[in-house]
Parts: sequence; structure tokens; C-alpha cells
Amino acid sequence: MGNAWSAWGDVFAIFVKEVRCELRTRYALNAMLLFAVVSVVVVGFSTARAGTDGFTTGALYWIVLFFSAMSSLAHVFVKEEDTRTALALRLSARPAAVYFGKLLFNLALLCALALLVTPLFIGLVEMRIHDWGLFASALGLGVAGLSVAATMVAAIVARATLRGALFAVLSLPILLPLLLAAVGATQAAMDPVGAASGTQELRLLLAYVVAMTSGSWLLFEFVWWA
Amino acid sequence: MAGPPSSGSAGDLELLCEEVGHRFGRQRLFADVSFSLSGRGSVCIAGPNGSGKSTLLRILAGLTEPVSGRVIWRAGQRTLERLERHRCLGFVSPDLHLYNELSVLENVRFFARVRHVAGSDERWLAHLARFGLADERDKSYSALSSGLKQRAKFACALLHEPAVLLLDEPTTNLDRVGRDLVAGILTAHTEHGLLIVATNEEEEYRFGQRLVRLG
Repeated sequence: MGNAWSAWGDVFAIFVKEVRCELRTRYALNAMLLFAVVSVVVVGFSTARAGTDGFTTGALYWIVLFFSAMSSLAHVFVKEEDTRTALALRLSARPAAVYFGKLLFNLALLCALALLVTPLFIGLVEMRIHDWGLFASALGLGVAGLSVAATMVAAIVARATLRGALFAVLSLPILLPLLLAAVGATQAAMDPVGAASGTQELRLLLAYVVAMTSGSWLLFEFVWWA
Repeated sequence: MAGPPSSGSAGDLELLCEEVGHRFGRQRLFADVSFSLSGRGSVCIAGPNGSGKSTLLRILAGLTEPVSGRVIWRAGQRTLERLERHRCLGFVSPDLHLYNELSVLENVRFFARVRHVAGSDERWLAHLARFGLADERDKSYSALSSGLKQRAKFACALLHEPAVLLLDEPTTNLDRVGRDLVAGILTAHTEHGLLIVATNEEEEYRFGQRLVRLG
């Protein structure tokens, strides 16, 4: 019990360190907010003239969330390598604590992003949600999956030389199934008779989050020491 | 079962460096480096720039795998795993930096927390005062001069009173006062712990009871 508390204490210490560093530089926050606001406004103006159906809106919503998130999530590990603090962290903290501390920070960033983008999107793009429970579940699981996958990919990429290219190559196969399921569940939440297909997509999202979290937990130590 | 010596004394800690060699691509850095240390003692690794001193230190710390040979850390009959090794290790190197966005005191608090060193701000301030950093406690690490940054690195590396100190160019950027401070710390450390210093400053060879030359 004591060990578990101590492990969570480490995770929390790393999370607090990340938040403190981010609030003092606002590098990730600014990049993410700029991308999110600009893209929602552009999508809002474009669809106001031409109009859009619920299926396209669901896809556009996740595209905005995904690209806004990707502009910042990858930096959690790259920054440690670039500023040469990774060595101090490697020697001091347990790998699992580093991974979950960074994951928690990415999750918090993405939750803040979702809280900003969702009302903007609903207001500007006329996103009509029929099943709020399904939508909230899809958003929660999608955000969790995106955080887990992006954190792991960021850890791998930080140890590589050709970072930009590798991030894109690794992200595509890892994130595509998640995004397809999240878009599907969101579209179902906008469809008055889409609850059944939405539940199926939610199961897929849940399985993705569980599998990706377990896999990342097991693999991270190898990546961290590579 | 004997655990790793967590602080202060090296106790029955033993370091074996057996025929260690390393290369980057086709370029050989060093080969067949062997030495051992046990209980207390010190080794100075000397050599010109590019001879692989920093790489050898990283290998000893378990941060880089050698291409040939092996490094073993033992406490009694037990071989220490990587994380156990890190628990009894203090490392200072030009390749290691603290967090620019955090103040000196926040850096110390953070590393104490993740290293599970219990203490209050009072203790950390006394610790910083030992390195002449008490007045700099609220300055961000990025605002420190290079000499004060080096002192801050020492402060964080010695927080958990490690049994083993691995130091790469320990007096880099330090003024006379800083050099004397480090010399005092190293001399005191060799009385109860293991010390390995990599340097190309002849003045620092005195920190090692033995000299290992690379290149």
C-alpha cells in the first residue's frame, strides 16, 4: 500500500513539474489554443455558407481536436532531450512514474482543449447532439486514447534523430483506428437512431484505451533506456 | 538480503569494470578498460577531448550499453539492477541540466521528491547554503551564471547523499571559491564513498587514488 502511494506521489510530482514548466513558458498551450481557435473559426465560416451534414461535422470535430493536440503533445519528451534534462530525470525517477506523469499532463492538456473546442464547435458549426451520454463517452474515451498513444509515440520519437518524419510515420497506424472509432461514435451521437452503432464504437474505444495503456506501460521502460 | 547502500557510506558496494570498450559507428573510442573499486576509493579517468571519458562515465552509470565488456555493481553478493544503482548514484556532467523554468529551490524540491528524500524547505535551504546558493534559491535555473548552474547541479546530485559520485569535468565554469567547495566535497566523499572523476585538467588528477588513461 505504501509503495502504491509512493508511486502515485512520484507520478503527481512529475505532473506538477510539467504543469509548472508549461504555465511558465506556455509553449504547448499557446500552440494548441491558436490552432484550435483558428481551425474551428475557419470550419465555422466555411460550413455556414455551404452547410454540412452530421456525419461530416463529426469528422471535422475530431480533425480539429487531433491536429490541435498533435501540435503540443509530442513535446513532452522531446523538450526533455533538447534541454538536456532527460538525463537528470532518468537517474532520479522511476520510468513508470515518468510515463504516467507525462501521460497525466497530456490528458489534462487535451481535456482543456476539448472543453474549449466543444462549445465553440457546437456554437459555430451547428453540431447537433442527440445523445449527450454517448457523445460525452466518445469524447472521454477518445481524449484518453489520444493522450495514451501520443505520449508513447512522443517517447519513441524523442529518442530518434529524424523526429518529425518518425512521429508522422508512427502516429498514422497507431492513431487511425482510434480516430475512426471516435468519429463513428460522435456521428452516432448526432444521429437520432444511432445509439446501437455508437455503443459498438464505444466498446472499440474502451478496448483501444485499455490495450494501449497496458502496452505503453510495458514498453515504456525499454524506450526510456534505449 | 542486502540492499543497495542508499546514502552516505558505500559499505560493501563494489564496482567492477571488465574489459569495457565502446565505439560510435566505425570509430573506436576505447577498448579493454578494466578497473575495480570497493568499499571506498576513487578513480580518475583522464584523456584528451574525444577520448570517451564522458561515454565511459555513462556506461558506468548504466545509461549507455558498452559495445564490449561489462560493468557490474554489487552490494555484498548481490548484483544491483539499474534502478538500484541509480538510487546510490550522484551524477554531475555538462550533458545534464536542471529545469530552466523552475527556481533553484523548486528543482531541489522536485528531485528530492522523485528520489524519495524526505525533508522540509528548511533542510533544502541549508543544503543550498552549503553550495553558496541560499541567495539564489528563488532565481530560475536559466537565470543563473554557468558557475552557479554547476553548483546547482552538485546540490541536486548530492541531495540523497549518494554512496557513489560520478563526475564529468566537475570544476567546469567554477571560480576559485567554487573549485575549493567542490574539492572539499570530493575529499570528504572519498573518506566514506566511491568517487569516479572524468577530467582533462591535470590539477584534478589528485581526486583519484588511481588514474585510468583513455586515448
